[in-house]
Amino acid sequence: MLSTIERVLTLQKNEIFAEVSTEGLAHLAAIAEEVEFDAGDSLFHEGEIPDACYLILAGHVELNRSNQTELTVGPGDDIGVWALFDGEPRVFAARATENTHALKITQEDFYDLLADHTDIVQSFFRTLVRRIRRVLTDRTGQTTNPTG
Amino acid sequence: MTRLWRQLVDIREGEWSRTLAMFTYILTVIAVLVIVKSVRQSLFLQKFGAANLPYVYLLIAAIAGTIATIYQRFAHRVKVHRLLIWTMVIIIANLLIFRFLSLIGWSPLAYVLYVWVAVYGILATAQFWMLANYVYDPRQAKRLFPILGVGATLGGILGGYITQFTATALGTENMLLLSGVMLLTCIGLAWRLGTAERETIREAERARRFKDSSAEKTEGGFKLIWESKYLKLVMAIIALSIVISTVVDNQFSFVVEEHIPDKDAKTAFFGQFFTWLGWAAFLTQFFLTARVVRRFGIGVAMAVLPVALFLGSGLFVLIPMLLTGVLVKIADGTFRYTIHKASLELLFLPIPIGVKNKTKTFIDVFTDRFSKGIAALLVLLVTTLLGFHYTILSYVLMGLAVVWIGVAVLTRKEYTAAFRDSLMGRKLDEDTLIISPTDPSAVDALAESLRTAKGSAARRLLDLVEGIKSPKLIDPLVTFAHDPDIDIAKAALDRLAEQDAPEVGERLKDLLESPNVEIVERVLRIRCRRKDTLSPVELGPFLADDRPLVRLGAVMCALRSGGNIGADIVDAETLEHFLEDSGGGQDRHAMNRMLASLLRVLPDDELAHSYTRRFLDSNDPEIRGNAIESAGRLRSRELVEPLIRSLDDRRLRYKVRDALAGYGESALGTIEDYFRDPDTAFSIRQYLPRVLERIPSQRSVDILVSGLDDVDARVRFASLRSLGRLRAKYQELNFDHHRIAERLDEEVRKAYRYQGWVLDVADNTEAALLRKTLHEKSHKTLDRLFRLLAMTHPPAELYAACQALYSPNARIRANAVEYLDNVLKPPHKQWVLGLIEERPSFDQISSMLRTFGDTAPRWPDDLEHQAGTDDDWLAACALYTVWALQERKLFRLFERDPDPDRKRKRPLTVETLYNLRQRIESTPPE
Repeated sequence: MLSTIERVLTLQKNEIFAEVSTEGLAHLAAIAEEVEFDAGDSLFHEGEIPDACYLILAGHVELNRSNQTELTVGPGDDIGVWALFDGEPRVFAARATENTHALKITQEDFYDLLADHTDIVQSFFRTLVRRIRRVLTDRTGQTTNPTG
Repeated sequence: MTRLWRQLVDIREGEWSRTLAMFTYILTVIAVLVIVKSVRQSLFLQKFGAANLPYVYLLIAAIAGTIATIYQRFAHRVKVHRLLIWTMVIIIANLLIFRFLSLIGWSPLAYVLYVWVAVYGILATAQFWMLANYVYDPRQAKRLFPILGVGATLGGILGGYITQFTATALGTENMLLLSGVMLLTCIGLAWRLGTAERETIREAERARRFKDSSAEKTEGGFKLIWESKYLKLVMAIIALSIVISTVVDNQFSFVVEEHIPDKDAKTAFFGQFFTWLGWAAFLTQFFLTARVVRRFGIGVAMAVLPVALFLGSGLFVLIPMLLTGVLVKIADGTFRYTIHKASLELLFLPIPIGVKNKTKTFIDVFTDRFSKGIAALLVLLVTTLLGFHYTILSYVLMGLAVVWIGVAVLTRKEYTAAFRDSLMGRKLDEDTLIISPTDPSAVDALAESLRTAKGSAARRLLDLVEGIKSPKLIDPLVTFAHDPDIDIAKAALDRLAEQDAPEVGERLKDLLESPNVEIVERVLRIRCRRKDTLSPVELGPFLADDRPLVRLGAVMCALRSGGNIGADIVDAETLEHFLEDSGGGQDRHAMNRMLASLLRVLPDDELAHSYTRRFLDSNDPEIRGNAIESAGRLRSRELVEPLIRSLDDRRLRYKVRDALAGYGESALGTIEDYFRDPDTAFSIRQYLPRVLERIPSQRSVDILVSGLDDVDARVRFASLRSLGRLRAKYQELNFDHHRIAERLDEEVRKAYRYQGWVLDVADNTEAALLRKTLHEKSHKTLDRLFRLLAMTHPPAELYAACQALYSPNARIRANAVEYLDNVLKPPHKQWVLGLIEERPSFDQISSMLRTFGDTAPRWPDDLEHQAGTDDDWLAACALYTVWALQERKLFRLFERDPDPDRKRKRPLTVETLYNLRQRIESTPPE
């Protein structure tokens, strides 16, 4: 089992948590639960209402839509963090392709944490804005005005 | 009668003078437009003949739009009323020049005037609506724009009458002078509006500039249309309608040219024609458009114009005379700006707003001109190249009308599909939903989507149909009312209640057996409703029903209806009796939810208090939420403690905060007890400062100042933040300067210590986590420092200075330092400037710390200090770094067992310590 510090070091590598302070990550680490999946196990199904997100520590998970594999993710990748925010049904189904070790954060715990730590909320906003800006930059091929 | 008048003309106090001026303005502009249109038609036909009209269409397609676009870009840079005045001056001058040119017999005048009128038509109306958008806010616009629209229509009719009755007497060319005189009125009105509405216009211009800067770009419109079958069809309809309209116009000109040889008679005839057209359009708009759209839907509405043109052209082929030519043109002019326009608006409903803006702009800029050009070439081909008589144009029109009808049929099919996609994909904007009930097709699509929707899609659709009344919705809503998902069933029943269809109650009879009292109550509400109110006569039998839950539902129904019904039939005893009655075996939870929602209408305060107290401990957030609101209303001191305890539920904190704030100072004693008690749950203690900042009193400030010394850093920060908010709003309150100064000294010391650690920390991977943490802590300390300074200095300026310190612009940073240099007083001034002005050296930090009686050990000894701080996370990071760097001389830190108090206060440090100790012990010595 990973210690809180080791979890923080793992979370820190993920882009989605890049703006969260190390102490904020420690709070996230505290609510994360380590889970194991055997090869072939389902993490969640397509169309399901999201109740948790995952961060892969070891192993690989394939993401399927309409029984077509769209993407395979591995160590360091996250699955379904943004889905926790909008609550829309899962766009993909996720299935472990090999024995997989992951950190799981449930929506309820996640929201409780955000309610008590506005600095973490701000960090997520910063990441979200940065992503949007990057998408806009990629689409327009120009730098976007930071105030826009 | 007054009510009817109010419905038609809802002009409110203070709006009359402005609206009258605007009404007169648009009336004049359109009247002049009709006059100059008649003049240009007459002059052109007289000079060049209808055969040459296609060239002028091409000219208009090429330049009129461009002139209007250039003008509109320039227009936003000038103050609107000045723009209107100067444009009118130029227009009047042009009219005078045209009159002069006609006197000297300048041949190209007819061409120039034709294009000029097209530009005037676009500019004068666009300018008017721009001014209207400035002088009215969106809510006024909704009420008053239709009135101005009536002004425009009446202007058309007036212009027609003036031309008809004066053209022969004055002479065609002199109508230009008359138009100029009429437009002088507009200059006076624009000046008056500019003076009287100066402030409103200025505000609107500022908002407009902001809006323009963020306006959506219109590139990609063609790509969007090309990729969407639906948009392609919509564009085809628009293009076909413009081509046909242009051909109809040319054919009409041929007919007039042939039948009315005299110039002034032609002008008078055009005036008369525009009068007929104006009345026809006015009456169609008033009596027909809404009815056709509502009754027959978009399919028929789309077909009205092409069918009318097909029939009209057929008639013209059979009887090619002036009257039939006029009929075709009137049919085109009338239906185009009424039913056809309404159907086009509806066609854009299922299109997401962003796509809509882009495609509409594309259509305005390109489709309109392109189609006019095509029409011109078509007429030239038929009448000039092939040399056919103009009546052949009617065959062309009939052919085009058939194509148009075909495209309309295809579009109708795609419309429903597009609408359904938008509904299911949540792409529809809210404005669309407000107007969609007027369109039966939209309601059809909603009803059809409802039939197939499930789960969250069904919930969303049930939200969308809120406020929409249609018999088509009843069947799917009745089906959903029987859904096993209670929330869906409740929403469906709420929507059914809006349908004004009490007969539907019979179809819901079986739901009276539901174990859920909320369902039963809703069914009763539908069954017993008569003309928007609950009927006691209808409800009576249910109050005496054999089934306890139905009786309870009836009671709830009566209470919720308010007024006398609830108070008459429900007293505390009756309610208790009913509740007891419906207890065992029934859905007690649903009943409690319902009762909680009725706490505010319970006729008896004592009873409300008793239920509020009970529900404050409920696990259901809805019940608890209602109880919190009720507690806020009742303001009973007995309820303060359960309210404070409710702060542990994050979903209810805002409600609790508002409820406690309502108690004011009377709740402060209990709040203080909870706040000072270290055993109070952290989630409550951390939130209490937010409650205190809503009770602006000296005692709140004192409690918060005491929070600055709390053992928990998070509570200290929450207190500081709330003090800052109180200080910003209520500077008359006394913020204990002495205690603030003490805290400030402590924060300065911490800031220097963190700066020292940041300077000293090893620059390698193993220490990366600690390094980042120290940087973050240093930053936070500086933030707290400024928050404390804001307690004794102007808060807004301090906040701005603090923000400026992080600016990438060196000049801004320097200004911030300069400001602080001037406002801060010794010794804080030297300390703060020492931290921010230039990065202090380790020796400077060391000497500063000595003044605080503190020391600054060098790396790696400072790790021991960090591991010993009260900061749980920093201590854990320091321990981890000791292990990661294998600083063996500090391994002794892992040997000591922490005392129980530390175990409780620093769980992370303890976890890290045990974890790493285990690793060290399991590693064989080198």
